Amino acid sequence: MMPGQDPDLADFERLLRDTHRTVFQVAYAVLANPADAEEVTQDAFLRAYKKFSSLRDPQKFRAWVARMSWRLALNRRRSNFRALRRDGSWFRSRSVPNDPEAEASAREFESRLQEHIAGLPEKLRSALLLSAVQGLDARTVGIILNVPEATARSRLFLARRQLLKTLLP
Amino acid sequence: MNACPKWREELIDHALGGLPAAALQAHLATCAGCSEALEAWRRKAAQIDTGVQQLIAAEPRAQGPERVLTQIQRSPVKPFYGRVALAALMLTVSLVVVLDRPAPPKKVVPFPVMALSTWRSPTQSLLHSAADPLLRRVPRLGEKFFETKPTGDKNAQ
Repeated sequence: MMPGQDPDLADFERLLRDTHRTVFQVAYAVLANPADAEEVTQDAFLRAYKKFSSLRDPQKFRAWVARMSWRLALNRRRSNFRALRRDGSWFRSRSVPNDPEAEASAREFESRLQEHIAGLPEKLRSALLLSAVQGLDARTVGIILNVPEATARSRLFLARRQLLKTLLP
Repeated sequence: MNACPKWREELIDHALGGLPAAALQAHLATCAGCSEALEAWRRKAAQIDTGVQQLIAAEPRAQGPERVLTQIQRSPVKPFYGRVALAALMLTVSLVVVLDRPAPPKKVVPFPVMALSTWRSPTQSLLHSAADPLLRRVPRLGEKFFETKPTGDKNAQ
């Protein structure tokens, strides 16, 4: 904390650094675009700062700001929907280094997985993607999705089950 | 790797971490095909989990938090406090307006005797009507109180 700095800002800065990656990945899980996810993350933290004094329990900061990020990302996705359709894929392909055979195999699996994830019902897909974000437990996923923890767990299980069934020979 | 069709659904649940029923456990102890399938499906489930994590494994820019802090420092006044101050001001103004409003004029109660002098019983108004002068007069021969129009009844002609 800098001398003369607002104590709220010092607390906020600490929480911001702790949660920035998680909040970014929540946005990325929806938008699949790093630039958009960056903007949404920044917007979410600015909004969080404006309302920071109303947050009674700092333990809930992660879930609180992640939920903001989630909702902002959903709004942005709605406005970007045409662009995403034009691009043709939800997630950008990532390069798998070195071994060309492994790369081809990984790309094929990734492609099939993307396809099946895109085919999941929205509720199951949301639970699946949020659960994959590092730092988010089922309780936090429930808070973000505004459902009880048990529902979040159940949706995650159903999503994985559906994926496994479709990917089995 | 051929799982028995009968146990397929339960094997899938078990591969995803669900607890197996006693019957499935007993079956797995004796069926090599189902045990082999279970292991393969567990690997596939792990592959799916890893794949999903990789799909969203993008990293934010390192200077992301600094950008947020710079934005905050550009507009240091917290709108939340501003809103609280505005709400307090509006509340004060409304209280002043409500409390400072002139009281409504008091209803002047007339002296009881005066009130009695102007009092009329309700029956008076019910007994008198605009037709009183007409009804009090004795009608002359052939005089009609009310003009009646012919009805145009054909049978009467």
